[in-house]
Amino acid sequence: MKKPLKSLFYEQVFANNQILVAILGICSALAVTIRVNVAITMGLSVIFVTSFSCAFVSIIRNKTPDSVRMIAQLAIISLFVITVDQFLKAFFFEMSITLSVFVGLIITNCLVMGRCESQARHIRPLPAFVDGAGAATGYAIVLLGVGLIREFMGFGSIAGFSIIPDSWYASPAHPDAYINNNLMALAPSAFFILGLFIWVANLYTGKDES
Amino acid sequence: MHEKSYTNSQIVRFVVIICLSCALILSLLAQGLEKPQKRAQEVYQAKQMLIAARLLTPRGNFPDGSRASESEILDLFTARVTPHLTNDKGDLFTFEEAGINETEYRQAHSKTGFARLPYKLIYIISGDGEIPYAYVIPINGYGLWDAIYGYLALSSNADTVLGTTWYDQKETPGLGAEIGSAEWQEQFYNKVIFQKNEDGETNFQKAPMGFNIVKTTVAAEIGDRPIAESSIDGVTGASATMKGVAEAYQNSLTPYRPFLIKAHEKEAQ
Repeated sequence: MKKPLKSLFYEQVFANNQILVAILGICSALAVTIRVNVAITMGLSVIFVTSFSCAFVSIIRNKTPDSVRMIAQLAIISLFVITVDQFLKAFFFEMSITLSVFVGLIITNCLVMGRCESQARHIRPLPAFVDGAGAATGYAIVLLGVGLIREFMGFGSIAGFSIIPDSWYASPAHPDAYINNNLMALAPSAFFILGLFIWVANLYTGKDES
Repeated sequence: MHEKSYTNSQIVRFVVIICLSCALILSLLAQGLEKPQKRAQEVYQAKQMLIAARLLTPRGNFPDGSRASESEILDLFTARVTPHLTNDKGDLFTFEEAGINETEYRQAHSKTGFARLPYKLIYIISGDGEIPYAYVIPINGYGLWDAIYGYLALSSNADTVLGTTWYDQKETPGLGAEIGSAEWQEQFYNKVIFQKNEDGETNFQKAPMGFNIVKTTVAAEIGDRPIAESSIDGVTGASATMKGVAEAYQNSLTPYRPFLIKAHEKEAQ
């Protein structure tokens, strides 16, 4: 099985998108998509963790005893997750407070382990790196999409910049004017939006469960 | 796919090598990032104290809405805030007067809190005249998961609250972690820490100190009884955190009573 690296990457981003097609890694997609900034940070963190974890799992693939391979994968994934966590704490302190436990929870993100277990341990390091980067980029794009919708509808802003002008908002003088949709600030809204995304993806890929 | 077979000792050696190399990399990383992390933590704490004292908005901007950079925050902090010590009689000392090394004092007690020490830490934020603009008391206690640390800023009468913030808490996101949200913290503004009795009077010598955190809303449970002035709406689904927070305020504030009474009388004159 030898595919050009480019198609390996794009296949993971689009055709085999881990969230939309494999339905992996949606737990964190619910928690960290409330604002675009947070979603982008999380997306970049997962790209870093997944690509390097896959590469390293691949590097030691011929030395790894089968019986302890998952423990070894976890150790490698944890290494990169803690690296990201420490880095955020040093240079993006407030972002690390906002993300709180969710950075640490990348360790248990099904997506990362899924790529290590199903691909990286069978192929050479470079394709494994590209495959991991592609899978995580697909994840990051979906996160960004959900984050854009949630922040725009829930707070009237994008990445912290107000988009909807203050004059549009309801006030005591104009009680019928625009108000933010508070549901979008809550986790269930991510469920609905992801559901819509998955439905659209299924239409596009022609995959029909029934 | 062919499977190589490994002996037990080979497997153990593999696991040990993996674990040791990961541990080595992480400890090097932690050492390398220690300095920027410490600075980030200091800036964050300074910022949280200034937010509690309403010198910065909850989003960390200046009150006029302009953005405050890291160095501006530290400048404002050093210009206005000075750490002091107070004893059980309520006398005020600087670190030099008490003969205590500030760095060592902080290192030794920052985890366990300052309220129970013979010399307790209190921050004074300077105002225009002789009466300070605000007093900030470090608060610590236990939440549901771990220790929680914050600040309570009192206005110059040493009773009315300017604001409160938590700079280190690991409560459940969405539930207990709401104590870190600006919306929840805003309730503390203009509350009093010396709880009033049923007649609406404050007995400074004996009144219970801290806040009465109710399960639902103050309006529903307390109405307009005098204790409402020290009552806060709880966060639903976070009873353990609420209990911890209430105890943290009570335990951290009560030892400062003699000092706060003196400050209150000084302001009343």
